[in-house]
Amino acid sequence: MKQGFTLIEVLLALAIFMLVITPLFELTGRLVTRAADRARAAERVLVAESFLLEQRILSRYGKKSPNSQKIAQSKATVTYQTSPLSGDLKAFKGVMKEQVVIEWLHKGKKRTERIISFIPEQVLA
Amino acid sequence: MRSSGFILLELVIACAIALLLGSAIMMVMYQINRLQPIVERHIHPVATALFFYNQCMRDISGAQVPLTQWLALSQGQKTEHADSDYKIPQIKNVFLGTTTENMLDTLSFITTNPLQSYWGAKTGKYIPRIVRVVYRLRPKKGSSEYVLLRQESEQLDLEKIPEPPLNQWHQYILADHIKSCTVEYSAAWKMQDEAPKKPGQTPQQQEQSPKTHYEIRKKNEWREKQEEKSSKTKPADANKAQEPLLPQLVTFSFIFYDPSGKKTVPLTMTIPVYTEQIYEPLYQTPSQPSLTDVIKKLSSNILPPTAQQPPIQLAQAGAP
Repeated sequence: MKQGFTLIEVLLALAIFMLVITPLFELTGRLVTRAADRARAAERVLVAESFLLEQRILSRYGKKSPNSQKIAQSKATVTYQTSPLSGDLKAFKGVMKEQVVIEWLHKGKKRTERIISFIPEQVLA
Repeated sequence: MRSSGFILLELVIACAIALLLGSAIMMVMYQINRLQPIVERHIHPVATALFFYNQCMRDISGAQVPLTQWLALSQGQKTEHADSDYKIPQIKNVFLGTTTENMLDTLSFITTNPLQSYWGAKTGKYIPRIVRVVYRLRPKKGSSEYVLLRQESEQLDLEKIPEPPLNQWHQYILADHIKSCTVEYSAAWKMQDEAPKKPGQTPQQQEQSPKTHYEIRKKNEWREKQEEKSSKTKPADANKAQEPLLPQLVTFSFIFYDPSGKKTVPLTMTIPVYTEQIYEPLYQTPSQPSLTDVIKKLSSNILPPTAQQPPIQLAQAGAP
């Protein structure tokens, strides 16, 4: 009686092995990309928050919004806007909505994130 | 006769398969090993910045001029609270930011957000604590990098901030791998306009109704006005401009090295001094306002103008 594996069995085993190994290689690559993306996202939040605080002070002392600025370090554009509340939020008197819109290009596509906060009118007045 | 054991071909194939499996696993292990510093390189500067940002935001957002300082400043005036026999020591450098070679050297201020908080044993109430926080940028030994040190102390009556090593001041590294760190202090200066002279108006009448506007100014250093008077860099409009006691924004511009030390990552963070943003800023005027005036001013900002509140008792301000 003939013992051992046939060629088909060996090839099948190798194919299964490759199926397991290949995603592992891919995963390592993706982890690096994810880490870099997350780092850039945190960087954008820092940039947007800093811009929000700076513009809040400027608008308090007479500089009109919206204001826009290009941030070289994160290759993004940030825009500051203030507006009165709309919809059901109108019930809150004396409160303004302020937001920073941050736009950047990711693989050729335009991406946007917003930081929105609500602030008493007197702080901006 | 039936043969036992493996033939040569089987052994060779088994070895080849083992080699293939082994090399594939080694490749994966190598990749994972290589991955760790790459991920570290991306994450470390931002993680350091966020760690710094959280701590500094906590410290600076509570920065303020202590009420005792107002008592000390108003001693020369007749106030209902100040005791003429007792001289309250004036705290030096309530907010101080100095530079060396255009980089941050020391940043020190008084804050109500210490790292440690205390609670009353019986009541369980939070006991507020006021501390001095000091940030120092110092070169790392044997390296071109800098480290940012943070210290905290309850000693508020310091004539000057002592240099390390300080046994009684706990000191730790808040951020490392720093190539450079510059700081910018932004605040609204109160500017007095020169009112156009109206015919028939006496100079006294003109002085009574001076017009003011605000101007956002940025400085690389923040020192007390008394110190600035002695310096040669006195602004030309020093008589017309009133400088606030504290800045409203503090902007840190860092350049971090990645852990390998090959690449640099610039990061900028702005931190607000909330006491100066919520209330109207307090200015260093030629004649300091009395403590009563300051309390009235602060309480008028806190309370709605229509509410008739009893006057704030001085004893409450410092009581635990």
